[in-house]
Amino acid sequence: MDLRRPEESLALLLAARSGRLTRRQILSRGLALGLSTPTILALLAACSRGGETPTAPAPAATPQPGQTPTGRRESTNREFVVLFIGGVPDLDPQSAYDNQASALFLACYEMLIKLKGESTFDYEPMLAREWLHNDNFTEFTFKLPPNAVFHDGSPCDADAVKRSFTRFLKMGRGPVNVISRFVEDPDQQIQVVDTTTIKFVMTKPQPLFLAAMASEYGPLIVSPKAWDEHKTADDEFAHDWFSQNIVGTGPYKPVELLQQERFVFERFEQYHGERPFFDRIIARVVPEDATRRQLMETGEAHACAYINPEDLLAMKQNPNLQIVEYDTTEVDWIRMNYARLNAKARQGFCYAWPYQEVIEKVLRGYAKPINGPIADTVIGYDPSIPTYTTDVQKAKQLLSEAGIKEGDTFTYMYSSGDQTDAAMAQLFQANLAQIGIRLELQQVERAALLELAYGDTPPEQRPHFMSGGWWPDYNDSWNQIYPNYHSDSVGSKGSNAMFYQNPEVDRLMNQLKDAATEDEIRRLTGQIVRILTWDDPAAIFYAQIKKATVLQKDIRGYVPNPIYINSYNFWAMWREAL
Amino acid sequence: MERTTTATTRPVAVLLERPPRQRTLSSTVIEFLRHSPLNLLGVVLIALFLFLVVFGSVLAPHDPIQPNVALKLQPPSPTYWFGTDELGRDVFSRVLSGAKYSLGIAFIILSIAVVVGTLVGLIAGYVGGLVDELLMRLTDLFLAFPALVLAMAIAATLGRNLQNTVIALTVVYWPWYARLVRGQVLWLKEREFIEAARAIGASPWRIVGRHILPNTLAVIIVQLTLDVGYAVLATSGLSFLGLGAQPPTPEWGTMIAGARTFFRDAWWYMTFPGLTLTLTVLGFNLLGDGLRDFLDPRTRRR
Amino acid sequence: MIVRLIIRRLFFLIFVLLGLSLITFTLSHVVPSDPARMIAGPRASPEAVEKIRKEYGLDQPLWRQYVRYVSGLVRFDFGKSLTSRRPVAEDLKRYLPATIELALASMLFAVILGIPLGILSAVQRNSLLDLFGRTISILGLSIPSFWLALVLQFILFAQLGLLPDGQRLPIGVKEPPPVTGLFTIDALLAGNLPLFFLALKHLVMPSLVLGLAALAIVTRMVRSGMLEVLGQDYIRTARAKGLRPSTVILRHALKNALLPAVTVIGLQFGLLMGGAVLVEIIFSWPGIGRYAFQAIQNFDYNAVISVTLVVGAAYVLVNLLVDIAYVLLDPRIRVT
Repeated sequence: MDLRRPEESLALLLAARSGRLTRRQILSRGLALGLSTPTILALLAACSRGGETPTAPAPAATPQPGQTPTGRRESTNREFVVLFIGGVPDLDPQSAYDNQASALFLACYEMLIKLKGESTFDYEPMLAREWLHNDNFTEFTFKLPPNAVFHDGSPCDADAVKRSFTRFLKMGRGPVNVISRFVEDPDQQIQVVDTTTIKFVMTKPQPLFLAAMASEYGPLIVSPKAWDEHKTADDEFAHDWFSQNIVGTGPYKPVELLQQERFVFERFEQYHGERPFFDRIIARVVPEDATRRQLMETGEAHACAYINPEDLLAMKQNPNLQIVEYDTTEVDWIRMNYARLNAKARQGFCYAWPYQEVIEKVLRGYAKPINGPIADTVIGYDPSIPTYTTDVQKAKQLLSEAGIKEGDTFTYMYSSGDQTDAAMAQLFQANLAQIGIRLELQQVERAALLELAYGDTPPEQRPHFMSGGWWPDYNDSWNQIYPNYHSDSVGSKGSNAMFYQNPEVDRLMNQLKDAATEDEIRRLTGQIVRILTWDDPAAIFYAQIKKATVLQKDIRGYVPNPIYINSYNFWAMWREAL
Repeated sequence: MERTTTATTRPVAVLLERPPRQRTLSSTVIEFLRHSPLNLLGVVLIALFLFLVVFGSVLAPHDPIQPNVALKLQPPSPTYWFGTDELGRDVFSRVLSGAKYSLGIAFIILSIAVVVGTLVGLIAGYVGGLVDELLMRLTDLFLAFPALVLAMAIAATLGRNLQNTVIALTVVYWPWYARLVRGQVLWLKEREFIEAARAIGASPWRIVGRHILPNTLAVIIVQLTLDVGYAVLATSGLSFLGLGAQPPTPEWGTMIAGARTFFRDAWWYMTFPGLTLTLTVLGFNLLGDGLRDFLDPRTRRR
Repeated sequence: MIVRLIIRRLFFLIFVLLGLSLITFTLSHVVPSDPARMIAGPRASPEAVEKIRKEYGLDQPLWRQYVRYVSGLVRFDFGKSLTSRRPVAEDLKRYLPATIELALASMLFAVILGIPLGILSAVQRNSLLDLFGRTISILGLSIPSFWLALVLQFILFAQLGLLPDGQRLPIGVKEPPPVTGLFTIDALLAGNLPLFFLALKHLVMPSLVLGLAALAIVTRMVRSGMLEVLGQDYIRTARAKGLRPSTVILRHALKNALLPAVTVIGLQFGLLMGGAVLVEIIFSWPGIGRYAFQAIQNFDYNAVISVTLVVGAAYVLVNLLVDIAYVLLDPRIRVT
């Protein structure tokens, strides 16, 4: 029973027993309530229906070609310009783990299914037209449209999908954990039934599999033909080529990809699905806060997900703009270099961070304090774990116990583009200066930070501190922690940029992956978070973030999704003629 | 900022109507100041900023480094004359304390450049021949480097800090002085009093020290005043790019870079450091121009 | 005689280029702790770094590395850029025309405004116009270019919306068919007048800021040159003979006054190439200055070092051309 909302869980149980709900509804509500896998399975078993249930969605109201859906006065301007905060160094969707890249991917690549609207558990078709699974979530079948093609003209059939997933899992970069958790052996577990049907077979019940398949990080389908054409002896997965080029099945194809400047996409005429509104999508890289704001105010840009809190507060008064705010599961942190700082030192630094000032004065309320890497709406969050408070003297004591002397210098790297990063870095620097510690700030371009983080430079050559943040690909604590703090995720294999390697955490994580009850999930997550925050700190966890996207007032259909953070639902957006 | 001109093209000594020793320093200075109001303005500005280089930090009413975020981005007020920045620090105090970085660093750069350049120029001019040719080619080589680009390359390889800025800009500026001094030496070598000194057997060092150096000093000083402006602009330009002074150093260029984000709602943050920079460079340019005009009899006669 | 000059200068050019290459080689191969990692980039695995080490011969003795480096340069092989994954030479070719266009526009601005201003300033000494000219001159050299750029951008773009915030063309507009690489010229050559004006509009602010210092210099050079000439005897003779003042000015004074200006103009061009960095960055102008800066931000050392070399070489080349032009214009002058 979910301790947070017992009434709703009870209501759900009763509804399930009475047979009033479909299995899909039980599953989605159960997940929305944060129930664990075994609890959901139990609920589903309590449901009186049995056997395979097709979970094909109701067909969306598709307007006939050329016909405007009733009631919409569409503008003739079909170009959409969004602003980015920095360059995108890696365009390989099966390797990139940064949210600007995934915002682009939603335009030109496809997953099999995607999240619907603002739901985190309702899905709608993307590449797959229909999907179904068996009762105990061990077999998932997806049906593809017969006419799906890649941008290079090759057909996207079940075989292509299998090959794409095989590449993803065997390459083992970045977001691989999203699917590798469920599919360890692609050859065996991914089965081509016929040209338009593909089946994924699990080794045990996995009700979270669909949620993972809707993630915008990882399970995107790339063209195997392009892979074959561009693989080399040194680069068997053609990663280098895919990091510079895009060949997907999405409704937009790339026209210009200048990774430090702009990305231009145009409508892909052979797209298999519903025609989206915009003809052209342009993402422009603008690293200066002030310029982004200016471009939004002059109307030259139409959307931006990266406006800093000071500007947001001012722009709220602007009648030409709409600001859409939404709570998220994003937690921001400052990673600490595991190889260069011992546990006591890291604890000391945690006490030196200016928590209150950052939340109130720098982030201006677009954040709240957090006690670890798990946001308060994610399963496994434990409110009993205390948060740090700023205590500079305690920091000094711990640091000197750790062997750090006055005058020692440490490096702190953060990216340009967001002035709040610069502000909090300087506040941290000032706190440390009070106790005689020198902090050298290294501001680098966003793409450079990403390259370093997701590359394979050894930790001794990395800075002591690196700013960052994360949110889960689906509502799951294992998914939030594994890519960031498991020793398997170091370097290019995940997002463990500061090489955190704690054997106890690894052990607990492996248990968590296979946890059978809800209580077990909570217990294990709590233990892990305690270690990550207090016993062997991995990072300074300073905020859970509230986001805001700024749009021109004539943009319609935008729905922020707490999982697809900083992304746009291009398939549903349009511009009204005002 | 690239240097864009040199001082007079002719050795200054020939333009002075008498050998420099016969006039008193103070009378020269007074005449200089009266020559044009701009000269006076230049001297006043320079005096002001030199004063700040030394005493700026002491005079600052508030702590220029310690943040106080509760007071962020406040407009100018009786307490905070230039307002506050995004971390609540007093802009006025930072501007005052920044003088020693923006201007002081320029002086350090030029001091080294002058010493090195003068040495090279003296040797080249006096010894002549192959040594001269070689040294001049070396000078030309270093003259080929545009300041900012070289500084960027050095920052990239050696690291971003003020020390490397000093190295980079020194490398860029010393050739001008070498050339200048060499020209002077070459010209003076042929004058009678040098011949006379040699005839009576004075050592080269003595000749250099007693006769050549004092005469070249004027040229060097004029060039120096003109160059300080360029050096200040170059230093602050590099800091603006993030390649020179690092936070929390209150260097004026760094401040302008930080102010850029907030210009819309906090005009004071970017305006005052920019104005201060302009006035500093203006002062030195006015002085340099004035000195040049003053020492050139053509413009003085009229 | 001019042939001798050219030959001498060419030898000198080669010497300087070798010297430049030595410096850049030192910066990229000797100074860093791990040159292989520098070339491979932060993303590369340790195996990839070792491969680079072998491939570039970085475990060989220094002199051999240098020879290798220079022979690469001679073939215009500047190595690969980490950010664009292309050969740096290609990147330079791509971004150089933008800088040239900016430098030319700035120069034009400085000359078109500076020469008349300088002449009028000299002819009407101590008038209001003279004062105005001299104020512009001194301010032009005193105002920090990056500060001025930001202020102008704020006023003319953000507040008044008169000019674009930067870049060479609005986003999404197609570039003219490449002939020279200068969008304004290419648009004219293609007969596309609207595109020409669009490109011109984007050129205004950056070239204004960049050209201001040059304007200051040109004005002063012309003014002082004119003053010098106007005071000379043969001018007074001409006036005494009864020639109209304007004829006097135009025919006699101008030619001699312009000579020093020509050299300065030439020098300016070379300097503008290197000094355009700040302006390019603020106005997002895709030239080599901005490219070099982004290279630094992205730990792309090959690119930074190569730009340094190219810009240095270009500067020397322009100086050489200016010296030749100087001699051609006035054979009396001997350039040492």
